[in-house]
Formats: sequence, C-alpha cells, structure tokens
Amino acid sequence: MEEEPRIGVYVCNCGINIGGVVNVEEVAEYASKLPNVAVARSHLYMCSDRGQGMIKDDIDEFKLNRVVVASCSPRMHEPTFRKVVEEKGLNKYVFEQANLREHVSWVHSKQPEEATEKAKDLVRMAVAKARLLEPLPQQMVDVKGEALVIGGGISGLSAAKSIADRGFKVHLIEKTPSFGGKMAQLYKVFPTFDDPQELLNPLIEDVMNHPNIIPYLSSEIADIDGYIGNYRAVIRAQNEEEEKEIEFGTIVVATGFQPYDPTGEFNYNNPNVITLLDLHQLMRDDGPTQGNLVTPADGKPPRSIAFISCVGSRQNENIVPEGKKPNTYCSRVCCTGMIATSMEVKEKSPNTDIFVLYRDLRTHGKGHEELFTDFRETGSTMIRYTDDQLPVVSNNEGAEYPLTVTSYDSLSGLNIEIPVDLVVLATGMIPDDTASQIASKLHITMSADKFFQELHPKLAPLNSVTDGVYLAGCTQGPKDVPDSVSQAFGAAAKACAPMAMGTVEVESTISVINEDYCTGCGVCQGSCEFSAIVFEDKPEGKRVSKVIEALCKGCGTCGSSCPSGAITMLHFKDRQLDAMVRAALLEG
Amino acid sequence: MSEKAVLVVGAGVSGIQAAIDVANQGIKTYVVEKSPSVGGHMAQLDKTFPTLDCSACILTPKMVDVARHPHIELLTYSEVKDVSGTAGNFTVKIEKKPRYIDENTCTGCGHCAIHCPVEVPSEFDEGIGVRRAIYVPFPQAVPLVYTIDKDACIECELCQNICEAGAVKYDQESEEIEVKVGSIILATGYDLFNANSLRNYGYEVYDNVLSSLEFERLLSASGPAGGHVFRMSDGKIPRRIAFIQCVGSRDPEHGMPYCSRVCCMYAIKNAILAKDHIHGGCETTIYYIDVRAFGKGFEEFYQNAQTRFGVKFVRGKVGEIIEDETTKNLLLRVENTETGELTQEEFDMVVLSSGLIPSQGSMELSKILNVPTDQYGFFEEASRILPVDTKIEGVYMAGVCESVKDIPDGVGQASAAAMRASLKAI
Amino acid sequence: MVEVQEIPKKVEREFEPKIIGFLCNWCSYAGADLAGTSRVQYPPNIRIVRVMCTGRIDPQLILNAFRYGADGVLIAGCHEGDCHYIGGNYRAYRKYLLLKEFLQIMGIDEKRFRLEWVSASEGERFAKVVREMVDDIKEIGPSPLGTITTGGIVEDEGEPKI
Repeated sequence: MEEEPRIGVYVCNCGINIGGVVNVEEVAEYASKLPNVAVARSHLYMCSDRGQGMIKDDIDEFKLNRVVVASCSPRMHEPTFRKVVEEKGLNKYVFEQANLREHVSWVHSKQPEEATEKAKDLVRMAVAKARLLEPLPQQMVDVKGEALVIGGGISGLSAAKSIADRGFKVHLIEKTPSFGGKMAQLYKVFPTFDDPQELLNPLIEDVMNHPNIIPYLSSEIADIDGYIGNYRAVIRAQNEEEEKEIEFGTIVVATGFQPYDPTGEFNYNNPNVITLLDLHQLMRDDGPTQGNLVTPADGKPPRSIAFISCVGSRQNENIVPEGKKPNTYCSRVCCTGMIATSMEVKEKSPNTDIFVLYRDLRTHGKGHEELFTDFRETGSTMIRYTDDQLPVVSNNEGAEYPLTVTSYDSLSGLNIEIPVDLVVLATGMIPDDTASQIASKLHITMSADKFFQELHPKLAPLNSVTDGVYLAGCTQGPKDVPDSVSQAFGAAAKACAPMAMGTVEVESTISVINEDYCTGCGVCQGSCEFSAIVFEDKPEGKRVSKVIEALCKGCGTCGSSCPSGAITMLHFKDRQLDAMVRAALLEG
Repeated sequence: MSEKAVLVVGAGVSGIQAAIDVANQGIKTYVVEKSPSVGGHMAQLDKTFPTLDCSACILTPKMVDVARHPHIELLTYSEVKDVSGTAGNFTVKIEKKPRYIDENTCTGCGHCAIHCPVEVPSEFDEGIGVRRAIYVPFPQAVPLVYTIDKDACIECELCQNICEAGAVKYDQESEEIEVKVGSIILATGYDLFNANSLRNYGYEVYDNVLSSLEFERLLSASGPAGGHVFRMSDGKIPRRIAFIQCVGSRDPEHGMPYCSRVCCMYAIKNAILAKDHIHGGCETTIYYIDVRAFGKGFEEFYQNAQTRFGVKFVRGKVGEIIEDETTKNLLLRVENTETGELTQEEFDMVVLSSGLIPSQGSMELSKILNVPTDQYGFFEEASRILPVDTKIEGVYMAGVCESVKDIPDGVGQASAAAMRASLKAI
Repeated sequence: MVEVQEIPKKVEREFEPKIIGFLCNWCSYAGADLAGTSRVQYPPNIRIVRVMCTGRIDPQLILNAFRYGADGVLIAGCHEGDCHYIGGNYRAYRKYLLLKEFLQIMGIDEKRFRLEWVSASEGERFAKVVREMVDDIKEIGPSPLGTITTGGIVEDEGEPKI
C-alpha cells in the first residue's frame, strides 16, 4: 500500500456498557493524537444508523483509508462495520476493531482508571495494526446447485423435500434401511396423539418419488471433502462393494439423536424397568406384543406403572453414575412425552394406576399445558422429587409386585413407597453416534452438551460454524417434531440461498507463499489440515509449494511453520501482529 | 405463473429474519411494519437469555440488513388493509400512514424533537418514559426517520421551522400501495397480557408493581432510567425484588390456560440483571410453579442463577399483594408449597412475569386474510409436520403469532417460513 | 509562624505485570468474550492480540514480545479435538514446549510463558487463568530481559527485516 494511512478512530459508549466504566471521551481524545489518525470521535452507539453514518461522512470529509472502531467484540459487529466501509468504496479489510466491552468495561468494572488505560492501549494496538492493513481481493466461488442431506428422519426428509421442491437436486443419505428415524418408532405423537405413520408415510412417498431426490438407504459416507459450493463425497451402501462418488454444493446435517442409556441407574437391568421409547414400541400394533400392554417379565397387564423423568438430563456431579459425565442440559420433550404417553397407557388400560415422578413439569409447547390439564383429570398421581434425593427403584423378590419405587415428595414432605409392575424411565436425548465422525469429516464443532454447535444461538441457530453446512433437528439439540420440522425447513432455506445465487464469497485472509524464498521443503503441506497446499514444478526446474486459495481457511499454521519465512498470512501478517505487540509494550 | 415476490407482515426479529432469508435467495420481498421502526419487542429488551447478549446489539445488524438489502422494500408505519387472490397470486393493498415527515429528506438529526413542547408517555418505554409528539421510538430506530403523532401534536409548527432539511410536511396524506406477491408470511408477534385484570396483584394500582416489559425498560441502558433500577413511588433503589411467575398464564380462570413458555427464563435473566445493575446488592426471589428451563443452555443458566448469582426460588403461587400505604412497600402472601408454610414477605418492588398473548395486529390480520386461529388467537398450523403453514395455502407464519416462543425458536421458524414462502414465489 | 510543608514521599507502586495474550478467534477469544458477558472480573494486566488460530503463532512473535518488555505471554487456544482448523492447536502446543525450554535457558521463568486450552464456553476459566498468571508473575517480579526496543526479527513476504 503506497498511500499514507489516514485512520479514523471511533470509540463507542455502547449506552453505558462501555461509557459507564471507561472514560470514552478521554480515549477518543488520546486516539486523535496518535500518528496517522486523521480523526477520532466518541459516540453513544457506533452500530446504530447514526454511528455508521458518522463513519461514512468522515471517510468522505477526511479521505480516510483505514477505520478503527473501539467498541464491543469484533465477533459481534465486525461484519456490520466492514459493510459500512465497503459502502464508501473502501475494502473491508482496512477495518480493525478493538474490544473495549467484553474485554475491558465488563471485566474491570470496579477499576475505571485501569480500564481507561487498558482501553487506550487496545486502541493504540488497533491503530498500529490498521496502519499496516491492506485491501484484499474478494474471493468468490461457484456454488453447485445440489445438496447433501445427512439423515433420513423427519428433519432430513423435510429438509430434502424443501430443497428439492425449490429445484435443486438432493442426495439424501440414511444409515438404516428405512426413512422415518425415531419418529417412526413412536406409538403416538404428542400433544394431539397423531399416528406417526400417517404423518410420515405421505412425506416418505413424496421423497422416494421426487424427481430431484436421490435416496441412499442403508448407506454411509465413506469420505467427504471440499468447501462450500464444491463438495465431493463417496457413499457406500452397507454390505456392498460398490461406492458412489457425488458432488454437491451444500450440506444439511440431520443426524438426530439417540436415547440416553440408563444402564446403572434406577435398576435398569431389571426387565420391568424400561425406557419411554421401549414403552412406545410395546404399545404399537407392530410391536413385540402386537400392541397389548403387558410387562416384559411376565406378560401380564401392569396394575401400576411409575414414570420417572429427567433420566440422563439435568444431571450434576452428585447425581450421575460413576464413570459417566453429567448431562447438565434439559432434554426438553420428555415431560410432555411422559405425560402424553401415560395418557395413552390409561386409554389402553384404564385400570392401571399411574404415578408420575418429576422435578419440574416442563409442558411448555403449543397445546402441551392443555394436555397436562387433561392429564390431571385421569386420576394419576404426581410426585415431585428433588435433585438431591433421587427416587430409588428396588427389586421385590417373591413379593406381589416386582418393584418398589421409593421417593421423597417435596410437596407433601412425605417419603412415599409405591409398589409397581413397571417402571418407565423418561430418558433424555444424546447425539447420534455418528455425530462425532460427522463433526470431524465436516469440520463442525460441538457445544458443551455435545450436540452440534450453531454459529450463534440467536443470530444463526441453523448455521454450523462452517460455511455451507447447516443444522436441522435434534442434531443441534433436543426438540419435538414441529420444532424439528421448522428447523429443517429453515436449514433448507439457508442451503438454498447460496445455491440460488450461484456464487458465494469465501475467505480472503489466506496464506500466500513467496516462491523466491520457498525451498520446497514441504513442511507447510504437512501442517495443513485442509490439504490446501500442493507442490508445483516451476519451469526453471525448481519445486515450490503453492496454496489452493479456495481451500485455504487462513488458520496460519503453515505460516508459523515455514523455516524460510516464505509464507505471509494475509491480514494477520507477522509484521501486523508484531506492530500490535510493540504498541502494547513500547509505546504509550 | 407465480408472482415472484413475497410479503412479510411484521418486522420484529422473526419478520426481519424471514425477510432476509427470502431476499437472500434473490426473491423480491416487501416488509410491512405498522410502527415507525422495525425491531419489535426484542428491541425493548436489555439482555436476552441464556447468553446475556445485549439485545439491541444482536438485533441492530439485522435491522440494518433488512433496510439495506437490495431485494427488500421496507414499508414502515404501514398496514395491510386488504388481501385478495390465491397462493401464487395475491394482491395486497397496503396503507402507508402519514408520518407528516418526508422520509427521503429527513436525516434523523433530532433537532425537531428537542424543541417539541409536547411530552407524552412513550409506547416503547411501556409508559415509564416519555417521548415528544415528534419522535423516533428509540435511538437505534430503523429507518431513522421522525414521525409526528398527530393526536399529541398541538400544531405549533416549531418543528417545521427548525428542520434544516425541510422534511416536515403537515399536509402529508396516507398513501395506498398495491403489491402483487406469490406468498405471504405473517410475523405479527405478541402483546403482553395486561395484569390489571388480576385485582389481587394491584397492577396499575400499586406504584411499585411492574410488568415484565416495564422492568425491561428500567434495566435497559437506553431506557428512561439509563439502566438504573429505581422505584416508581419514590425513586429509591429497591433492595428486595420479587418476581411472580405465571401471571395470566396457566390460569384458565383469570387469564389464559396455556403456558407462555418464556417467562421462567426471562424472570431468571431479569433477576440476574437486577443484581448486576443495582450497586450495593439486591435480593431477588422468584415465585414459581415449575421452572421451565428447557432450551439449549437454559438449565445451566437456571443452575448458575442459584449458585453463582444467589437468585432465590420459592415454589408457590402468590395469592395476594398488599401495599403498605406509607412506605409503598409490598407484602406478598404466598404458600410455599415445598414447606407447606403460609408466608408473608415484604418487598420493595414486584415484577409480574406476564404472559404473551396474540397481538392486536394478529387479530386484525386473521380477519383480513380469513386465516383460522386457535381459541386464543394464535394462527393454526396446517398439520403437525407443516408447522409454519397456516390453513390458507400460500400464507405462512413465524414467531409468536404462531405460538409463544423465544428468540432462537422464532428466528429458526422464520427461516422455515422463508423456505415455504419461497416455493410459491419462484 | 512559618508553615513547614512536608514534601510527600514518592509512593512505591506495586509491580503490575504486563502480559500479552494471543487468543484464537473461535475458542479462547470467545471465552474471553464470555467472561465479559458473564461479568466475571479479572485484573487488567493482559493485552489481547486476536489471531484466527493459535497455530498462527510464530515463535518469533513470542520472543519479540519478551524483548519488548512483556513480563508474561499467554497463548490460549481450543481444547484438544475442538480446534476450528482441526489441528492448529496441537502444532501450537509442540512449538510451545520447545520454546519454553529455550526461554528457560535465556533465564525466563516458565511461569511467564503459558499455554492454556480455553473453550468458548469457559469465561470463568479464562478469568482464572489471567488471575493466576498475574499473581504468579507478581511474585517473581518483572522480566529479567528488561526492554530491548531495537531489533526484533519480523519475517514477511520472504523478506527478513532486522
């Protein structure tokens, strides 16, 4: 960059979030005196229309060619401010943001003086980097108008049909021999007691007959690589030698969940202790007892049943079996599922006594509370237990009832003993067992609860952290059928956007290799996880390393490995980072 | 042949997201919003659960996006008046209400408001704060264009004289706009249940009993108190705040039978924020029936509220609130269902976690479009596996107008509605 | 009566370590952000430089940081298996192990150079790491290198500049 840097610095009050601790005016005043700073201002909300307008006006008036905003985290508003500078014809990479909120005002709130000094340091560091920033060319890639949907449950089916209806070809891959997933295993779907087959069958038929959908049952992904718009995968059907190679532009992950395994808890090894899903299968006409509700151990109708909620959910260090890590999250659907299923039991077997042991009753969805109101009219008994005293399920050898459930009821203050024929554990959801393989194949990450992590819980709940890969259904977290379908349609919309536009922008902050300094040692290639660097033979007989730009993610691992110093990481150059460190320690 | 355009009615966070997702597919999108700015209720919140993000901070980029998107035409201060036709070919009549300001010349500088002599309660501030007769609802409004409330205006013409851009136009009239679209997305949101029908709680009678949205405005840094929490009666800082759950929800007798789903979480969040904003300490107690912390990260948030922040939880429905006439403190009569004790606790302030009901706008639209609603006024879905389709083909829905939900669910549903709507507009 | 004015003694300032932190965008920087949104308080001694991945961190940058007077340097990246770029954090770890040895030979105590895994959901942990480093370094005092303002090798575009 030949021209002299002319930097505009904007220090945000963020209401009182920053201004309440940091002396924002003082920081702006300080910034105005730094070399190459043409103008420095403070404002109430830099992200607002007015704040953004201020930057644009200054770009015109002061002929700015670099902009620094000192405000919240760049993880929040970097794209916002980048758009602002672009609107004025500047390249978005001449913008730098300093974090005065998450890293200063919110964490040093009782030390306003030190916070203000730190703010000045951070602004000085951002200005030091800004002086050395350069415009980078925008990288566009073509997007193939085909999608891969992984998982053929209700979410995968819904997503596939949407994308196909929109006009794009869909490869729908399912590891089991049939579509329908866990929903197909249910007896009835709450809260309206729909027959899952009636809901699923028309959809499955549509999918199987859709001209744009290629279904792969009993199949798995043997290999996959690429990046948004340009993926390639190898699909292998189980028990078959043949492999199919496919190419597509976007991916929707809909791998669903598997039920928590309560082995080691609540006497689960007793054959009369089953899970909610087991109960559903018992009640189905095509189940092991043709829909007759009988206990597994002796084949007789149960006289009393105890349902226990929060099995495998809402755990903490104290209430998890040894060797297992606690699942701290709530599985969202079990309360309503348990209530609804108990009503289905009561319908099949009106004389069965029902006991529901719960912690909080979370019947939160549309129609769920009303269902709970109806439930209270069935004469079933509710027992509220607390997390420090779990119910105990014990065997009664030779007694009239095979099991006894003992629990403290926090509402009556009594310890209650219930003789039962059957105990049903409302087990929570955990991610499908293919999830971690998918995670590493697609480079997407998992949240603390091990379900896939969304890019942002509010701004982008359907995007994974990797462009081109979207999340649908329980793969992202426990949810019921309507919410799963909603998410699936939404993920489809996200996938359709780049395919409809035909191109999409990719990373510009990539690795650049200077051929003159490259000795062809290949260390960089060994360090690249994305296979983005390959050898190239030069006409003069030299062999050098070369970056495949569309594959480069800009992580910088190659840059720090090169023994010849031949690699530059755009936008995160050694020189730029070093200037920040110098500014932090030597100046000011 | 379908009309290659989509109409989104309502520009809260769900409507905004739906519009962006349709427009990102290259489809022309009209967005109609009846208030002067986009943003809806989310713009009124200080922080959102469970991540304690600054609500305005995560919403404003989307608000700006919807205003600047090349494929979106934004019509604020406008209402849908009539819809005819069928899926693929709807003709919509929209009334653009007069702002008495020229949108194209107003720069949003705000000089007019500074000089306007009329002050009226601000809707955005839930009546706690004030605005002028010429106003923007909040500082980050999009579009940043002023509006004159003709009912409050005394026609002194000060604003017209002050305005350097010459944007004030007293003779502006409403405009009728007709658009042709292939599909419609309803995202008309909610209103808060008005607790004044619950006589035993003293809402709108006792000064220090607030609704949840009023409390949100107190907490908000850009609210009428700059983020400082104080009592309405005497301006003192409350040191003991009670939050009462299920106000108007789970209550067939005095309110709605359904669960309003978000109140447990927003009360926990507000209790944490109250402790954070109030220097010198504040005791917070939440009176609940069940704590519904069901979503991603919610249970952990609930546990943290107890262990890290010290928010107290008492299981019991408050029977009655009595005001002390001198101190204006509030005495809560409640049975603690876990201990069986009948207690009387005194608090400086009480916040009612009021439920969410379908908005006035939803009710009006259901009549205009003949869209069936359930007994509460939420739009009915076509089937369990078509959760964003209304019973009218070509009309879809997103957000709370379908059923009560939080922001992540609303945003996700909005993308779903965008997908469904796009199929009728290509 | 002439008033005798006492000339105030210069107040001894407690040594405040200067720490440079290299944080990766996806995990540790987000974790530090979370410390902020959760309002977890920690001492204001750290100055954070954002990189996309800890794998980016060239040992020369660390050496320069100590040259310029850093009393401590923190590298914070993703936990094993969580790196957004799959393995960048492992490579950072390998370099860290070697560099730590080298620094000790130069007389720089190992407490001054730390590598930690901090995830995007570990706000509390990030604050704890900073608090610990500040306490540890306060105990051992300022960096023995002092400040060397000249030099510092910075390689860029194949052009070593000295």
